[in-house]
Amino acid sequence: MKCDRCGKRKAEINFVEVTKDGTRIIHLCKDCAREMGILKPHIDEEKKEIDENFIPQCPVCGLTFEEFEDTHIFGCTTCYNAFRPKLYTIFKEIHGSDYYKGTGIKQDERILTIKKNLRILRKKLEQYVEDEKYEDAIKIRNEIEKFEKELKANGS
Amino acid sequence: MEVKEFLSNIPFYLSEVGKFNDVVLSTRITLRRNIDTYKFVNKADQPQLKEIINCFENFDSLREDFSHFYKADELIADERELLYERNHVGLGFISEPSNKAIMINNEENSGIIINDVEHIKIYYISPGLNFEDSFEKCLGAHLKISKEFKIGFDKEFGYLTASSNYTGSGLTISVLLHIPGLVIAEGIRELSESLTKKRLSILPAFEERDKALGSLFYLRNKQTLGISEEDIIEIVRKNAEDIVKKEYNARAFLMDNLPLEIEDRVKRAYGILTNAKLLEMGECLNLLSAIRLGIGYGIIKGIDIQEINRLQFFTQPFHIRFSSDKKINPTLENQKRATIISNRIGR
Repeated sequence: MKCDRCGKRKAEINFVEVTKDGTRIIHLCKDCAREMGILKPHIDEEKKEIDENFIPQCPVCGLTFEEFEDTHIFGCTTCYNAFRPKLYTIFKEIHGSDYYKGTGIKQDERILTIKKNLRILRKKLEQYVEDEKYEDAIKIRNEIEKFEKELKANGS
Repeated sequence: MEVKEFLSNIPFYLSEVGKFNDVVLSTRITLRRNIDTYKFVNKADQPQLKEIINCFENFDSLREDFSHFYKADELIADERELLYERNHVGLGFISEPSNKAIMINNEENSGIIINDVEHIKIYYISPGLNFEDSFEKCLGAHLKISKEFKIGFDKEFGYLTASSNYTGSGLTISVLLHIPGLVIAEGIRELSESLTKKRLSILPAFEERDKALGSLFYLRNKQTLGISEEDIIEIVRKNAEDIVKKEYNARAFLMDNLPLEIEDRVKRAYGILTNAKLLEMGECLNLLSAIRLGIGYGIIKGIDIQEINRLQFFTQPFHIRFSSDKKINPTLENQKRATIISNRIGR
């Protein structure tokens, strides 16, 4: 269908106009819609920028974005980079979020060490309390608190 | 060691008493990782996948913990079925064995699956409701692996998995729940709806013609992005505990309102289990569920939950098939199942 306003370009937007006599649907092309102020120009520009970073076929494994949309299975780690601009909405649908909130590999190692230490220290603390060695117990408790703070700071 | 030699082994989580053991059978943690330098399993070529398997077979520090190593395509179909029944692998491992492998530890409660959708799946199963140790153990294996390989990781999206369902932490927790109270009180649909809103799912562990068997369900997290590993553990723990509470309430309600019907259900199940000559798997699961419930109520005495766990495990079709010398047909399988059970819990 051609645009009702210019009669040349393809109509892509259906604009519902409310008049005294009721409603009327006008079919518009994007350019006319922008000129009439119905379509905001900046949204379109932002989309263009996203599209520039988007690669529809992964250069490493050859998986196309269409194939991915079908199966939701990536072909390699590079797919994530190629499809990145379009992945945010997909992840929001699946996970309700589009970013990783965990700790990552380096912190994983630190957290594991802290947890092991905490387990040993907590046992020691119990023993000191049982043996009524309260001064030692206080020292251990302070150490435990320090580790617990670090765990919290690491977001876990 | 041959796969069938596992038959004489009772997995650790079946005989240990875990937290909320009368409702929670086990907790399984799975951590998914991929190697950055290889394409994912669906796009990698045969030599690449074989290379990955070789690396793991010769990964000495990992083999110390996971000494049993099996290549899926070197096993016969029945052996793969046995690994499935023993909670090691999924259905894909049975139907498409090429270029897949698995390594299992001695206690048979932990393992690493290689090239099944993801390059690496580390899992750990604990009795009852237990998270802390099992997550640390998975993380320990992950750290060993990440020293040897560059793991696919992205600043924004976290750990990169083949399936977009696990991107981020790559972590899922499955809690196996026995909730007959909620099933009888028809509370499952409502529960499922409220869990969906929290991005958790509850699905039947055993099904036959779309009907859940044995009142056994898996509670599982569906969100791996925008939530830290610790928070996933926390949300699953909290909701599992909520379900346990709901189940206790439902059981109390049933006992208050239908005491005779409940006792009848339990004792009828005991009567059939101890006297039947032929028992099908589905029927057996449902009857064992009633016995579990009976133990919880104190109607059945002298049998513990761990005994039921073991019976349910060892009466699965391929367990029966492997422990018999003769070629098994369905009737013989059902007869063997009936005999095993009446020998163990009959008077």
